[in-house]
Amino acid sequence: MSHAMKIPAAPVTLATLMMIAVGCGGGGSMRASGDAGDAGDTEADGGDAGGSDSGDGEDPGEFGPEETYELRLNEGPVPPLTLQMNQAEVAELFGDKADEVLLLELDSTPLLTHTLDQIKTACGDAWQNDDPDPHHDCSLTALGQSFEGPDGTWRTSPEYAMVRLLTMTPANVVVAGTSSQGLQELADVLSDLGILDDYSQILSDALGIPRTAPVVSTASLVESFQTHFVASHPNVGPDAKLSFTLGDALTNLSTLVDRYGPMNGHPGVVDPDFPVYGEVFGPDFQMIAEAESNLRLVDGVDANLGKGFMSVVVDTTGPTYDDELEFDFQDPERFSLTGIIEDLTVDLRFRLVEYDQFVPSCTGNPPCPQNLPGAPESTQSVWARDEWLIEYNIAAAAHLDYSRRVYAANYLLGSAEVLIGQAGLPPGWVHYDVLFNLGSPPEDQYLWETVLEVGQVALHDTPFSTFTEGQADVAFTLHDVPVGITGSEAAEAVRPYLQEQASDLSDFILGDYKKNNDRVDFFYRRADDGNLYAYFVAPSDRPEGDSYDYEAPGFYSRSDLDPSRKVSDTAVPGLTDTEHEKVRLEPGETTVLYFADDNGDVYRARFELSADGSVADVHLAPEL
Amino acid sequence: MRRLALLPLVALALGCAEDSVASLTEGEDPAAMSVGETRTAELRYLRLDVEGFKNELTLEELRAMPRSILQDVWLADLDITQLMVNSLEKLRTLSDEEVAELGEPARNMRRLLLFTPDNAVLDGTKLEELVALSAAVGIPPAKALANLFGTEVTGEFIPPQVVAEVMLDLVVGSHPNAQFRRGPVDEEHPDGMWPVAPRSVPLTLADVITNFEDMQERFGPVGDHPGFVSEAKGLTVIEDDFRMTTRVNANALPFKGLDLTNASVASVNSIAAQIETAHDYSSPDWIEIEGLVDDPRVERLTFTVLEDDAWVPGGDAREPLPFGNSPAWDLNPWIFERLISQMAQVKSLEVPAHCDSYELGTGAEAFRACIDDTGWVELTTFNDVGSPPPPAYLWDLDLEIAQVRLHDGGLSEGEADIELTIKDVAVGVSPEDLIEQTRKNLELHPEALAEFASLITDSTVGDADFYYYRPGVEAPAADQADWLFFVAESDLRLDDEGNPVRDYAYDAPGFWADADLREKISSADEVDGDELHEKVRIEPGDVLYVQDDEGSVFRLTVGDKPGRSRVTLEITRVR
Repeated sequence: MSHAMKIPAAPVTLATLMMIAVGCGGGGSMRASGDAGDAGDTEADGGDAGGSDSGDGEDPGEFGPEETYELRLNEGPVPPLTLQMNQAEVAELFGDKADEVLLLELDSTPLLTHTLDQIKTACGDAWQNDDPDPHHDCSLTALGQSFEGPDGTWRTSPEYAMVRLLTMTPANVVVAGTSSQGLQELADVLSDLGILDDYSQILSDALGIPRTAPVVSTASLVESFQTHFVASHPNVGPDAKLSFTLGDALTNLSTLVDRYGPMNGHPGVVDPDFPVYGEVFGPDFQMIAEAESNLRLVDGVDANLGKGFMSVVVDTTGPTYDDELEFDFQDPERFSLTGIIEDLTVDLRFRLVEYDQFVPSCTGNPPCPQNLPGAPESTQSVWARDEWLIEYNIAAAAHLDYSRRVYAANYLLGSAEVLIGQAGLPPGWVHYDVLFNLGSPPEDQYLWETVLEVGQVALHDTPFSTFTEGQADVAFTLHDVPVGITGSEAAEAVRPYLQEQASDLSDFILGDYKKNNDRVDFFYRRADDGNLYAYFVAPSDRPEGDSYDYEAPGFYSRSDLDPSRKVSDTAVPGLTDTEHEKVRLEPGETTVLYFADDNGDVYRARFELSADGSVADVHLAPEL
Repeated sequence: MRRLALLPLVALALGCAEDSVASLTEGEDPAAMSVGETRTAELRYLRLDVEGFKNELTLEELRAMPRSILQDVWLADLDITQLMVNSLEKLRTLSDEEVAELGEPARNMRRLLLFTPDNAVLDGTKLEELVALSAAVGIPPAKALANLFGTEVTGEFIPPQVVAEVMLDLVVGSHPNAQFRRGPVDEEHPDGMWPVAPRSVPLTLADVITNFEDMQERFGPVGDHPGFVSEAKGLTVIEDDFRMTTRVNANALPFKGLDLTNASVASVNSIAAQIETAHDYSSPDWIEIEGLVDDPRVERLTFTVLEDDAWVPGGDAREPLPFGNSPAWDLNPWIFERLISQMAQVKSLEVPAHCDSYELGTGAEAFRACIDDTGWVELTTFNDVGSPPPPAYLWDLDLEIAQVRLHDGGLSEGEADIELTIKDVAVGVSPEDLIEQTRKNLELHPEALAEFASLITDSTVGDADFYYYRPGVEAPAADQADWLFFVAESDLRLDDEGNPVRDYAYDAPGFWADADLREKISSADEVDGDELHEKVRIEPGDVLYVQDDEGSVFRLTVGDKPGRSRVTLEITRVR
């Protein structure tokens, strides 16, 4: 039910108003005060001030002189917002929000592979020879030269020890001090006699790898580090992908330290003591982005202060319909990145920490066949350790390499057997069967448990020094590590990520547009049904945190603002908006409405629309 | 005619002195003196002091007076600021029908004058793109413009008062007839041209009694100036019962002198010589003007403003200070582009130095508008979106907008000369103000009334070359003697049109010690307040020489005094 009157837009003379009032009938009468443009009112249908029915007489209010405001529809074309920015301008545009703009999620495989490759060759590549001596010489590479132990040389550095571990092959493996030491000695004695392969060969055969191949493969190490070391970082998802934000790119990746440094016990994927650096945007970098603005200017009136303006969102493009800006990052015509460094690399420090104590291998059946990743058989199990520790990752890498290993070999006419995954035991489970237990072969265990033991010993006992448990944390300072994507690939790869965030980006840039809105009481606009309405301001039109102090929002047909006289509705058929009180106005007609502003003062508003409705002259008079 | 109002008094005086003057030959027209001929004449200084004599002139009487005299009776410099403001206000409130009657340029000009940040149309200007994008990023253009221009969103860019003042200063102020008016010749105004007060037009008695009938002619084209009023109809200042009354305290009788050509006695009006003291300015009713309309109005007034025939670019440099380098500043002051620049400049200087910054949600500065205390404007946008114009003075931006808008409707450069016709506009000066101004001006410059006063007493008879003057006892003791005053130009007899009946054709005005007129013995030094006339003190036995307006030279021998205010002169033509 609404109550308003529509009268022709011709100059409103007293006589005209009188005639209309009389014509409306219904027992009502029209009061005409002496001031210009005083208008009576009649009743109209809800939400549509035009449908008059029964007029009920003059308004009892006395009103002061009118002020007139010209409200326009502002329906001219809105030009697209086209930005053509260099790096500094991109940084300026996004500010702190750049850290929230996800550009890419990169598979960490290439980065880790390149990292491990660099580490493995940090002390030369002679270890790949079929030679018991790996001939490590860390002075050969820049990375190796960065190793520095207590005596100031690489020889006493834990990093060298780690290189030694990672470059351990059947040919150069050293098992002294491990449970395999006796077996090696026995094999090597018999080998010297020419009646048995040497230990390296036996090991090579047992593991199914060449004599010169690393006992733990790079691929498995990468996967292990991804799955356990990287993915266990709080800021990395289970897929171990590394996120790169616009903020990272703008800061030459230095912000990666913040995101991937130590956190919640995790030692960090990168060492915070070394700044991550990787130039992403070249000097000729350019971001071109074009967006359609969905902001529409509407003219309104603050009864206290006069004419004012607001912006409202008119978003007819999905998938979201409340965006201030409409981006299309998938369209090369509307978004492009050029000038990204083609060979994207990063300098970082890769830091690994060990468990403070020796992590024993799980031996014996039972219970150790059940001791598997994710299912530690005891609290001593390596699988019960934190996933980011060296021990865990070496064991996990070896698990990846040998978890399907099944192998059986006998030597010396069956007096010695190496059985892996035999006799119903799971793959990778090794059992040494040696006559009279000569060589004191290791107890039955998984191959990766053996690798774990050998690895830990290798890490702590090098030809040049011995580290106590907990002192073999390592940090490799790596330069120019390829991140696994080229600049041109990245320029395309960002599209879906940005498109996914299009609505957020819109919010970042113009989400606070309401701060420029005046505190108008009402505004004039064309609604999505194509018709013209007076909209009473709603709470959502105010900037966040601003008060909304209307006791009786809406338009009324009488100045007493009796609820039964409200002519506006929030719900109008055909309109999606259900928040604003609004009244339909007709081009070429004059509509008289009453409302109270946020001070509680009552006003009469005569909306006098031009023939095409493009302009509404609002004559506002305060109640005296 | 009331111009003869004092004549009865004169006649009375003359009648009273009938016996004394009978021997004079005034009114007779004796033959011209020949060389070597000697005649004798007696002159008397006659005095009839009147006090508070009420001299009332009706509109009819005034209109019957010579127009040239009335035109020299300057009453006031009429400040027409309010007339201009009223005209602009009228322009604002024209009905749609009246607007339709205006020419295209006038309509454009009207729209321009009504521009506010809210309704400004900036299409086709350097600001167009910027304004469009402003809305696109949620910055209401009207607010941004209002902030920059230091006004309300619905306030005019250039307020009517500024428009009026600049129009007055430049267009009116450059018009020759609004720069100077005729007035008495004195040392400071040897050409008799007096400056008119700023933003004013001179108002004479003739203007009043004719309801400014020649305004269109007077303030139309003059010389290079195209004029600022191309039409003025129905200016109503006075009503039919208009009358002007003055009260006079003066010797009502004329001075007695000689026309040397034929040695005849003549009379010289004495009122002009007494004009400094003729009115008691301490009395509020020394002059009364009645019948001025309460609300002087102009029925139809058309202002003309010419545009330059070429596009005039705005400036793009601070120098030369303080206006910058737009060629608009070199244009004639009445040209539209110059006017707009000036108006904008005046308004700009009211805008305090400030910067307005509008940020995006990310904190990036989307738009920054700065104006310094010289009016220099710098508009910057993030990434130069909207192509903000390069730095310039605010008036440089205004100039471009104004020119674009003036040519709306397809007008080419040179086709947008403006004629704005305003109907029924109030002059904006109350009769009380006008009277008060007139009263003050005449008090300060009573000489303005001299000729007028002479005219209304009309007691000059004959064409005296000099006259006899005897200061009264109220004069300084040193001045209390017998003097001969050589006539000044203002003493010449006037015809019915108020024009002198003869030229002031004296080659050697004054009195001389020798017949060759080499040694002047007269001076214009002050005697009894007079510094206008050449004058000489005489005593019996004095011999002096004087030349008349025909070039003849006469010897005057002062004879015995028949009485205190009487002298006898023996006149001999020597050449």
